[in-house]
Amino acid sequence: MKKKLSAIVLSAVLLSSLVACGGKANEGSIPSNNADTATKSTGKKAVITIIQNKVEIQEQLEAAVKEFNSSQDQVEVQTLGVAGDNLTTVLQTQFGSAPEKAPTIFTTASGSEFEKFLPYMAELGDMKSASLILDGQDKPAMKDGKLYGLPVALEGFGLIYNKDLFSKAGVKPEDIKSIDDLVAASVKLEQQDGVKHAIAFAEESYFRFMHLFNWPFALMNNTSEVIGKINSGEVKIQDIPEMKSFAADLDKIKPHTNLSKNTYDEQVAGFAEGQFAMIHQGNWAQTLLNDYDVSFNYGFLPFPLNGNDGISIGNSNYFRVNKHASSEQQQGAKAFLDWLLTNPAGQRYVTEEFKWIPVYSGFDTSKMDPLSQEVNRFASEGKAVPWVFDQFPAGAHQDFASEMEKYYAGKETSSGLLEGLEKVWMNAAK
Amino acid sequence: MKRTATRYRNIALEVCAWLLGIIMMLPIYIMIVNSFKGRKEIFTNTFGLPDSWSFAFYAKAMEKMNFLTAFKNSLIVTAISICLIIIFAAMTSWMLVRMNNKLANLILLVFVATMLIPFQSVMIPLMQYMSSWDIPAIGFSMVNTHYGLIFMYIGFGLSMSVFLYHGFIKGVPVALEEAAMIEGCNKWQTFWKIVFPMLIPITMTVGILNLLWIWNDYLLPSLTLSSPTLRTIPLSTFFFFGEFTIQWNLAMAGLVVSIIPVIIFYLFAQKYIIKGVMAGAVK
Amino acid sequence: MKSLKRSLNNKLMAAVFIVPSLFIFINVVLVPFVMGLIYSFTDWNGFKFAGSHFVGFTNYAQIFSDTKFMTAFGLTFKYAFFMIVFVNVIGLSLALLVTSKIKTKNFLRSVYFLPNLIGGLILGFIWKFVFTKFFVQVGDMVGSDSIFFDWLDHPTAAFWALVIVGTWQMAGYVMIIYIAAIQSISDEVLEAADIDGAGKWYRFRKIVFPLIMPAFTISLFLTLSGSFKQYDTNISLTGGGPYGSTELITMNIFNTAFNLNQYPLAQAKAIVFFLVILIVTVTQVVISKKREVEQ
Repeated sequence: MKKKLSAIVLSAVLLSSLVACGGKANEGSIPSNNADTATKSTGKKAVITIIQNKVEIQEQLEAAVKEFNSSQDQVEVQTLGVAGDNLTTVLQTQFGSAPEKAPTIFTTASGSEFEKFLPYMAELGDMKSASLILDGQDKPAMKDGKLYGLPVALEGFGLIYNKDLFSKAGVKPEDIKSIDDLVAASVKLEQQDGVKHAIAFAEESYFRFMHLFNWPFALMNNTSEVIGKINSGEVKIQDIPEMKSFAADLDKIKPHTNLSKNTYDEQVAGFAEGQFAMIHQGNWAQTLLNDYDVSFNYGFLPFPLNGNDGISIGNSNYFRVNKHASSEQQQGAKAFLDWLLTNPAGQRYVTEEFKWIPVYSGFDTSKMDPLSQEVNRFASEGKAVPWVFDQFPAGAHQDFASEMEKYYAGKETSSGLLEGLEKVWMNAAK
Repeated sequence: MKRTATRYRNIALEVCAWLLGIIMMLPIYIMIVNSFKGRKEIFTNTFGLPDSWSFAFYAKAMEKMNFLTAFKNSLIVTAISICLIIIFAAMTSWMLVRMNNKLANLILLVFVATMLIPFQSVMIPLMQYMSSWDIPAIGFSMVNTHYGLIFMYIGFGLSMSVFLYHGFIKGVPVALEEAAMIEGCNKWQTFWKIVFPMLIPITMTVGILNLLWIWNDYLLPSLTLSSPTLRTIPLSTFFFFGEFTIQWNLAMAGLVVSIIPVIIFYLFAQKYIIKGVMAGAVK
Repeated sequence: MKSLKRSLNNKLMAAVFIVPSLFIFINVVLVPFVMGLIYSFTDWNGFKFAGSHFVGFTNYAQIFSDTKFMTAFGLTFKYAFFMIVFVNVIGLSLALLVTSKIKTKNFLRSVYFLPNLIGGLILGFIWKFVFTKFFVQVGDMVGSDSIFFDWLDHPTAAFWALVIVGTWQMAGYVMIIYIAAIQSISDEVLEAADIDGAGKWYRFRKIVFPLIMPAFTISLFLTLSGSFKQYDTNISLTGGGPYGSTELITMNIFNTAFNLNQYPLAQAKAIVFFLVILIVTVTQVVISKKREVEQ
């Protein structure tokens, strides 16, 4: 009898704790339900949620949001969070099930992700910040003449080099004007103590393939035309002269690289340790370099393909506003983004806390970190190579990177690599 | 003569067991030492002991994770899910075993077969369906609530648990139950009074296996819980996992802290498994 | 009249025991599964289903021309086979070890159990270090790279790395099940065998093993379903590399959906895969059930 009683009591406790927990959970769920309640009750603030892909700035973003919330009493912004590579999956499930409850502000890349989430994006052309976007940077977020995204930050990549090592090895960065110069410099650098490889690439598919192959495509003077021809099957990658010469250049560089065998974290750590004299990376590596306590000077070097003297500058990440959110929420979302990007209080967070290079005019850029300054310098000197890799076929970056891996492992020659890339390209462009 | 041989064999066995244990622990050693290292040190000195044993990364990880809230949330979700999984699965399995007809076998087959479905292939339909269970008037929603998440955990946890219970109950003799029935117990009473106590060893096993999964699960809560106040422990480690870069020291410190409760529970449960068996033997 | 009432009562009781579970299970697992099944016959875009069109078996037809899927399929079977063998042999050995008479068995039990607690990305990271750095260092030390080289750099070795890590993680898991089974064997049975003077191996084969047969069936199935669904280790340890040679089925399905945005195709792949393993599993269960009965 006692056992029976205790079993019943146990289940009753469990049931009631379930109910109790339900009550508590409800409080937490109010923000997402506010889509309905906010529109009905006028006295209540509309709650706006924001989710974005850079977890590195999450804490700083929360601080910015706090300041914005206390600066006005119309809306309340809340930051949501998700691991970086999980964002698309989460957004997709939420928009696919209940778009009115999905985050009010979210970030997605341009290109295929833009197309994918376009039905859920509100038009942003009437915003104050929209009118301040730097020339041409709004193009990847335009559809039929309307603007559907605000660029997050300018980013630049090239070869980040160890200035101290260069001077020790007697290599002058300004003398590196061609791939042959780069190879000659690499030979000298590799004679220095502790240097394992002159150049290091990271293994993640964007770093291993997309950024690297941005060079030959972006340095053509008719990039879009050529890519169109590849898509239609008119031209094969292995028949394009620029690609052939790039493949030959890769053969020259390859012995001086780490064969792209390190993760991004390891690659930057190796650079900080002096094992790599140059890394093919962007200014986003600044936060890592800061964490690694780098003791030497470093800066950007152009990837000297065909005499190129610029670094690759662009942006592929955009703030979007959820079209299915209530009009109060959408208004509030726009107000927050305008505050962040045009109000000096918000702008301070962008440059000093997030360490972003603004894509908008009217920013004070004097307090930016070293790599960002460099990117800005290249940009202002007009030495910027555009980002074109979002024109590569959608979703193929891993397969492209696999071809690169075969090439690095010696399973494929450089001409075989081009043929392999052609196959992957055509397969994905179907 | 025979005795010494046995003793040597036992010693050899013990040595083997320890060697195995060391191999098993190697990755755990790597995890622990690296939770004390700076980001650069992790890559320059991966296998050695850290330069200093400062708990700074633990403090930082716990602060960033909002550890106490996350811990409370994880505890609520995991404990209630497991209790309910155990209650439902034990009841259902027992009935299925005792019914032992075509219908019961069919139900069992469906339970077991669905263990083969990869979660990734049902997650979008699941979220679509679950978000349609929504009554705004009373604030009822399956999405972004703990009870909604618990409901889904029960659904996914039942398959394996029913499978485990079913296998175990088949070996439990019917005689005791029949005696109880003759004494006038109905099925409900018989189950709780006679059967359930005999299931303690398998119940502990079911509990531990579900604990392992629910406590560490990231994907399902990442889809259902969006409010920061509801985050479970794995969810709150998102801070450390960027798109391309991971703050390994914080991530590992966070993991070490979050698995300690599981180890404690396991040690506790282990005692119970033994006790349960003893109790069975005394009868 | 009385028997009618009684059978009604029985039915009601059965319902009380089964219906709540079934209700939750159907709504959480079966309904989404059926929705997915329906989606696989349409051109669903991965978001709202409304507005999708039925396309018959188009998606299914496409599967069989997908060579990557076929490769992943074969590889997953190979992976599952080795996992089943290794995980169960090692898991059972561990269980026997920690239920034997050695002194530190309680402590060791926790040690063997620990690997289960590390999941996902961290697991992959740690093992990546073991294979890419530790092995290379040891190789340099012993001056031979026949065993100690960067395993993840070589397709065959990378596959075995997956098996090793999977085994390392799952062996402790099935150990728990075997322990429960071994401990439910009453001491009297074992003592009786000892008095009869039965040898250790004989005792195991003729007395212990038949009694833990149900646990064996369960563990086989859990390993099977676990290794067929393997995703975390795959993505975090090898990421499908080197050059796509270690992509298992769940990763392939996930990539089809979320990288290539071909959602209905991914659903169709999941269905085909489900049906195939269902057949395999049912066969396996039927066979081992038969053996259980024979024993």
